[in-house]
Amino acid sequence: MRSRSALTDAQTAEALGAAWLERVLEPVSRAGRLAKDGLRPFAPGQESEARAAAAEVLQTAQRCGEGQARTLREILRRLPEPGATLALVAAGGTIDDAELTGLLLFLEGLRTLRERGRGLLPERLLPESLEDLYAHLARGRTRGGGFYLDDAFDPALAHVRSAAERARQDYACERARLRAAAEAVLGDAAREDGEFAIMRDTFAGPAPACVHVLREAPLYRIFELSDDAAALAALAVLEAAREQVATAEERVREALALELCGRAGALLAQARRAGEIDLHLGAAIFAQEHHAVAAEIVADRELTIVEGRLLPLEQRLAEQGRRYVPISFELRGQAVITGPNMGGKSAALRTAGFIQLCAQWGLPVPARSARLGLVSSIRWLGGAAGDERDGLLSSFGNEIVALAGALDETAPAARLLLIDEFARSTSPREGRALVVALLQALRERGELALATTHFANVAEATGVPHYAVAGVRRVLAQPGLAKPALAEALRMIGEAMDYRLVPASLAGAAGEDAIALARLLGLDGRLIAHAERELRAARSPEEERRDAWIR
Amino acid sequence: MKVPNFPGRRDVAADLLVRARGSASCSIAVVGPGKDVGKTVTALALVRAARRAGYATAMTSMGRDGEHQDVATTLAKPRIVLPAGTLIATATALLPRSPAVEIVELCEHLTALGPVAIARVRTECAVELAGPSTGAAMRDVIERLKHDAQVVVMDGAVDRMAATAGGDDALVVATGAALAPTLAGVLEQTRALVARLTIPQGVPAGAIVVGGALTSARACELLARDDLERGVVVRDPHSLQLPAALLTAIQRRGPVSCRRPLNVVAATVSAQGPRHALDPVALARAVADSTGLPVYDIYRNAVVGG
Repeated sequence: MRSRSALTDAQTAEALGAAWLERVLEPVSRAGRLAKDGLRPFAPGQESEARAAAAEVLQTAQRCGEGQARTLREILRRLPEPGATLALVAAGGTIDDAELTGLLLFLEGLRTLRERGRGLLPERLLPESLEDLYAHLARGRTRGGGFYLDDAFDPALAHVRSAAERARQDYACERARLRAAAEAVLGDAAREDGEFAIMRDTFAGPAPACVHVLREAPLYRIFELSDDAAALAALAVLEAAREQVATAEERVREALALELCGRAGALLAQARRAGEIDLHLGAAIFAQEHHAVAAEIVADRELTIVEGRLLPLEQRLAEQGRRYVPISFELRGQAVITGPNMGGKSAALRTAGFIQLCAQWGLPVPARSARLGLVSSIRWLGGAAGDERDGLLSSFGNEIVALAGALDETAPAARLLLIDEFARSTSPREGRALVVALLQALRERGELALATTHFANVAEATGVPHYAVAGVRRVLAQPGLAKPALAEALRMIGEAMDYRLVPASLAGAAGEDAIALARLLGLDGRLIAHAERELRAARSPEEERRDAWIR
Repeated sequence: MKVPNFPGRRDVAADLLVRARGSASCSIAVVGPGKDVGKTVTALALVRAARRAGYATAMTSMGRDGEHQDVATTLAKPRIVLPAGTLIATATALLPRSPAVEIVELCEHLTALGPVAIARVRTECAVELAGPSTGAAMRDVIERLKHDAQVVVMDGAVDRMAATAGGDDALVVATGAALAPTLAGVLEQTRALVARLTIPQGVPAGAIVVGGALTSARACELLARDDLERGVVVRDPHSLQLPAALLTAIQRRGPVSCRRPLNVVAATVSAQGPRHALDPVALARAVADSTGLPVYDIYRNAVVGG
């Protein structure tokens, strides 16, 4: 759902990790899955609702001790969904005992949820336990926790069942009598139920009256007991008794179906509530596990994040034993992010989008704090755009087509544009010109946009705020160091890189970090030394200040 | 009127039950290489013997059993009439409507006929059985049935009995005249099946370990090697998915063993096939001689070997 909504297109959803978020929040019950289908993100104008939703989730997360939310969810996981059964009774269909069992389990689940959820779940979500209906169906509850169309549903059941059991025993006695007679003639292979074989060298005479021959073979005959008049009379009584049992049982089922039909609305409402609880608990577990906080949701067009985290990336790094560095920035209108390769520029864009995405769905956000306005869409532009023209367009062509489409969209003001290294695949001079023109256009349209680029002086040319990745904090690789394996190089880069975003007025030239990266990745040492001498000669007082700021 | 119980009567199904339980198994799978070899008759006889002996008993099927006719062959199938108290695992759509059964549990496992339910027969009645369709789900259901039953009987074709891998079930091989028009043909198929199901446990040093199924293609690759004398190891006998002739060819070159063996305890025979009949005494004797297993004839209430 979160990966397939009007809020994000497919490319944006993929870039932001919407599928990851959807997986983490996946409901465990069928009711939850149905509720999820009806979910919609909050839109501009629904700020107070979005705030309330996130606050409610956080309240549940705080109330639920470790494991309590999961315990409640386990009840939901086992909760049958009554919709199909209720549709059946509403249509006048007959109900069976498995469906009655499902409804009883559903009502029991609601009671348990209400009991265990009190004090943990918001009052509005506590399910109604429909006690009268439960008490009615619970007459069929067995000691082992199952369901049986018990005599307690209708005293007539006990009467006809007793009669049927007496008739069954009478008929069984008749069959036993017939078998004893057969056994006396044919031997101990004779049995009451099913066929039996007698070798001709054991018995070759005519079949006694108590059996009939099912099959003749050269060496043996297959017999089966044959009911005589007394047995047939007992069988007739048994069949009649069984019919009476069937009639009485159907009467009970019909009465139950009628009652359920009258309560279908209430039952379906509780099923929907169970689905909501499932989604709510999923969000609460998300907030607990990822230390999420309520974003301050405002009517303004802004996105301010303090120590925001891109959870899919944080998780992947943790799996590799690597550290994750939260980022902070303030976006009001447009801003530019620059920095070295592998410095986390795209990750910063994704973090912004991920946090916006969480807030739009009424979730607490993974940050120390956040302040943001709701948008009607989030669009990821640039980067690894997919070719929608079957290879007829180049990377640059694809970017332009996607951008043109985004700029043509209506209601552009209420959206967040995340522009990742736009025009990087064309000539640097023309590419920079396009980026500058794009940012100026976005500024004039009043769009909320965050853009990464390697082009120089874009922010200065457009007058938008400029952030830079802090960059490499220490020497990545000493001259003469053997070239490490890729995984090791990535670990060293991760250890040495300062991924924080800092105001560009305090940042230095990205080229310094690029040289350090090149050294680590095994570029010739003499070449590296030459480049460093060149760089040092061109060092400015501002660059010295930036290093001091980072320290 | 009290139903007599014939206390002094010989009952080979009870003997078979004792043999199966003597192997410390509380689940018994009746497997057969084809249709109409008496699997359901054997399974039902075991259930009834277990109930007569006072055991809490359960029954399920890896295919579909208890319907009037086989949907594929249209031949009549034995009815499954179970005594009160017997547990069953079957698709909810097949649960008898009357007399009502007690629903013990609704499982998540699916069949083509809907989810599986575990139910208890409250009054003797005829049932249709269709258990889970995958090995893992069947294994889960068997373990669930074991919670409430001292004897669990499974009815199923051998090609659907992957659920018995990894369990401690006793296996009873059902064979009969329906397999082939001649006694020799029946014996050949039965011997091949038993040989496959009873490959020994063990991982000889230097043996070739085959992951997954040992198919005809992989058998050909093995036969092209010159180090087969060290042996071949598979996970369990169900991993042997190859014609008997190829298995025999490999076994001539080196031993075939497995990590998880099966526990085959006996065979049963049915001398009457849909188109012809065999001599039941000769059939039982020949199966006993060629497999080394005790052979029970439920139809004649007789046993050979063991």
